[in-house]
Amino acid sequence: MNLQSIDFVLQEAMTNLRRDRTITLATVGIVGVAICVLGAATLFLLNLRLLTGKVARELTITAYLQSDVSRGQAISLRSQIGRWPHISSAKLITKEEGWEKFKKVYLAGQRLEQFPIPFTDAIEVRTAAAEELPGVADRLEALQETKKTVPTPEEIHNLRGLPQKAIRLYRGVNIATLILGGLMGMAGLFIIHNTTRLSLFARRREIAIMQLVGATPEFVAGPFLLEGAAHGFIGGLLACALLVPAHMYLRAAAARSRLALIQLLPDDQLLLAASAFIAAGMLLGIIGAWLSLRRFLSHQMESEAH
Amino acid sequence: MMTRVPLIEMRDVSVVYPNGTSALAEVNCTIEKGEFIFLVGPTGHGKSTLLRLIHRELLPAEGEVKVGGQNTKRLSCRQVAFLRRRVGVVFQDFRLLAGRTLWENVAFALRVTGAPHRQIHRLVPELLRSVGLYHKAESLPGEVSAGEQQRAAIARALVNSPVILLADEPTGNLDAQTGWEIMKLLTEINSSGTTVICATHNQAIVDALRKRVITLSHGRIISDVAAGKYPTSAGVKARAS
Repeated sequence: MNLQSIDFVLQEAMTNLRRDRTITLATVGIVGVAICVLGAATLFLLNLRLLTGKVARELTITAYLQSDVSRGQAISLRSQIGRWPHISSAKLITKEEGWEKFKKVYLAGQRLEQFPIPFTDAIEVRTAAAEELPGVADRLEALQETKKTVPTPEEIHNLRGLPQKAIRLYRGVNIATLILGGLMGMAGLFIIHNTTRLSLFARRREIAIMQLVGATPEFVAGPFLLEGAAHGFIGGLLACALLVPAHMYLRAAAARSRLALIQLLPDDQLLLAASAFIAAGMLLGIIGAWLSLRRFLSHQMESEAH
Repeated sequence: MMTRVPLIEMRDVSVVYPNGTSALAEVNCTIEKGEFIFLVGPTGHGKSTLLRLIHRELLPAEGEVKVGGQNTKRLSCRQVAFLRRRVGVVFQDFRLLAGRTLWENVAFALRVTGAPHRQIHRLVPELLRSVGLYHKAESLPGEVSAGEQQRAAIARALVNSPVILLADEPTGNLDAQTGWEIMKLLTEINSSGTTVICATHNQAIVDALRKRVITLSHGRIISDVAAGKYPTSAGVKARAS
């Protein structure tokens, strides 16, 4: 495709959008609603995941060892802890590994090679179930090789079964989002498919002339695919115009209230999610238009006589 | 010695529509480059169907159609598009786009094939001038006469310099004088080397122009008479008396 071809496709797509304003508005509106609902459910899920991720990290106890514990002793201790009942995994985090991770997260870009490693070896322990945490925490704390545990046994005792509830909720919302997402996606796809059919019908004379004079299938299909993408893009944009400020508002409100410990998605992840919603809208638009076009063009190109 | 390949070749071609109607049956004919051919016969006896086969709007149920040596059954979608650039078509109802000027209608045929702007701006005025419509370039189809609309349709059909020009009842919606003007234009186009195949009911035109005439009846070719040998209505009457 050359520049003139791209110019033609763009111009025809713009003409379509302007000509059928009512249909464009209706399509964009419905796609916007579909993505809004889907987006809201996805954001809820992402926030819940953030929360359960935090909780999941709290299902992990990291036992930092005394500085005089040798590497060999640490490895032996890890194997021993791994054999305790209710332990699902015990992983040795060497001081070098811990330091590298720390530098990446907190002190990126700073040259710290000349500094001695401030960490000690640690053992990261996961339990099979949240109920086992307190017992395991107490046992780890009691080991003479352990300097400190994170979180402490007092903090773990305060959790009171929250992790299990959060995980069950997360799983439930995950399934509901998939179902809802599937339904909303199909609704959006259906409406764009129908809109493209109407557009194709309205432009059937032009399409017939295009095919008559030798326009290739890309030329015929291009404007309609672009139109579908535009419907999806604008619908996605409208949905994000509602979702993003609403999420920011809720985050600010949660920070001011007693729910301050519940952290909602930060801006960078929120914007990433918004971009994904817009991209999903465009994809929906292109697929819906393509399904209509495929049928229309194959009907046009195939023989009527057999 | 090289055998010349006919421009259009039909062998044992049959066409049956989905409702079971036989549109063409065992049609055999060859058309050479540069010919001017009339297709005559009653309405519904296969003239338009034959033209649609050449333009690859239809595929034969049996037999084969070759255009420029290519079997139309074996063409991909893209190849069909490129075939159609070499085959211009003119219809009885002109099929111009009502909301676009004559200039835009002719230019449209170039734009949808990706022609550069420079080429469009060079060719369109040239073609409109050649059909005598340069002064009406900015008019809409509804603002010009039927004859002028047909001339604009011819200009559009010529925009990609086709090797073949198909005309399906081009004078059907025109008065006698305008019809003659259109036929004169088609004859000029033919004299520049384009093969012209014209389906028509207009016996007067067929008699006057003395071109090759293929007669269809109930989907079969019942006669194929070389140029100058087709018996005119006056000739038939004279022999009868």
